[in-house]
Amino acid sequence: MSHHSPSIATYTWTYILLMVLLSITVAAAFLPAAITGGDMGIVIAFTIALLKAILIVFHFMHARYAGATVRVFVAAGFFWLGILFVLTMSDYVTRHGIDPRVNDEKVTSSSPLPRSRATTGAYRDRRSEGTHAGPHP
Amino acid sequence: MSQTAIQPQPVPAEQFDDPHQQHHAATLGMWTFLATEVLFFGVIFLGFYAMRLRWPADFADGARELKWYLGGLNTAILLTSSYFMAIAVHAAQEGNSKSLSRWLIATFSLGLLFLLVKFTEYGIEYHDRLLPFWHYSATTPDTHALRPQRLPLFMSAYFIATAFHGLHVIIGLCTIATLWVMNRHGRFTTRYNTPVEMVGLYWHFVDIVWVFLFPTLYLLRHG
Repeated sequence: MSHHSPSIATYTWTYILLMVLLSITVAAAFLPAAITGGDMGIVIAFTIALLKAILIVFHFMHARYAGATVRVFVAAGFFWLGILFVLTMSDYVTRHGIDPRVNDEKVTSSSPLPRSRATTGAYRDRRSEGTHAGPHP
Repeated sequence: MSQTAIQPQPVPAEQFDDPHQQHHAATLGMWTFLATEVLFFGVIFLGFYAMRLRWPADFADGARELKWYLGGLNTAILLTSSYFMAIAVHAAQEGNSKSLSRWLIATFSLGLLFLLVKFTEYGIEYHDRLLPFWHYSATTPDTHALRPQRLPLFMSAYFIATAFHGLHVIIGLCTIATLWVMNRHGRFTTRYNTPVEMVGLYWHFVDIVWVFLFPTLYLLRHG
């Protein structure tokens, strides 16, 4: 059976592009906080990671040369991932200003804690929040 | 399957009309499996970002605790191994068994190197007392500065994500070693090399997971 697959040259170009993108994403992480602070850093890192993933899926994994059925299956995996992220994040992202605990939290994390409490910091909070039965870990 | 491999003219398993259909079924099955893997790692990423949204400053501190250059080195190693794997699949399709053997060894070696770097990192983190539940200190070992309150949470997410990814690398290495043995027994021809292709898909997927893990864990250094 004959497989349609790209040439070694295509693989090499894909590889070079991947390494260039890796350098860019590392360099971007060291830009001043004014540029990459907050959500911008996530946007830059994620966009580059997505570009790399697309290069790998299309060239290394031959999705470009696959038939329609296989393409639908490839897309389905990422489509469901999209549902997972969009629906969950539409809750978490819009929570600020509604849930008073979100704002309280920022005050507590910046204030110094006694050492014994800080040691169990991550778990201390859960006990105090236990009665709320909130969805936060 | 084994019959198909030994005979020069591939004979498909009895449920298939022809070798082409069999190859198509294998590819479809592999992608279905990979879709479940996407969702498996998806929830790990989702959990991480949900926590990061709530404690951005502490999680940025967490990213700065990690050695970005080791993570970057490991990304380069895995991308290179993916490139080698792609060439190995190409060699299998050309029926070049010697070349296939060489590129499989190259891919395997880089996978092993990845694990070596990863365990070196774990060692450094153990030394820095960053292992939640087990070997954690609320202050830094050298300057005794107080660590962020949510750092254990970041480190837990880091260890869970990288350990599951590492497990996938180990499984990948086992399958690559199996391919190498199968190739030694002359199981792959220009007409039948589906296992090489399928392991290739799996290995590239493991690479993609790391492509997202690296910036997520190491590079979001500003809150």
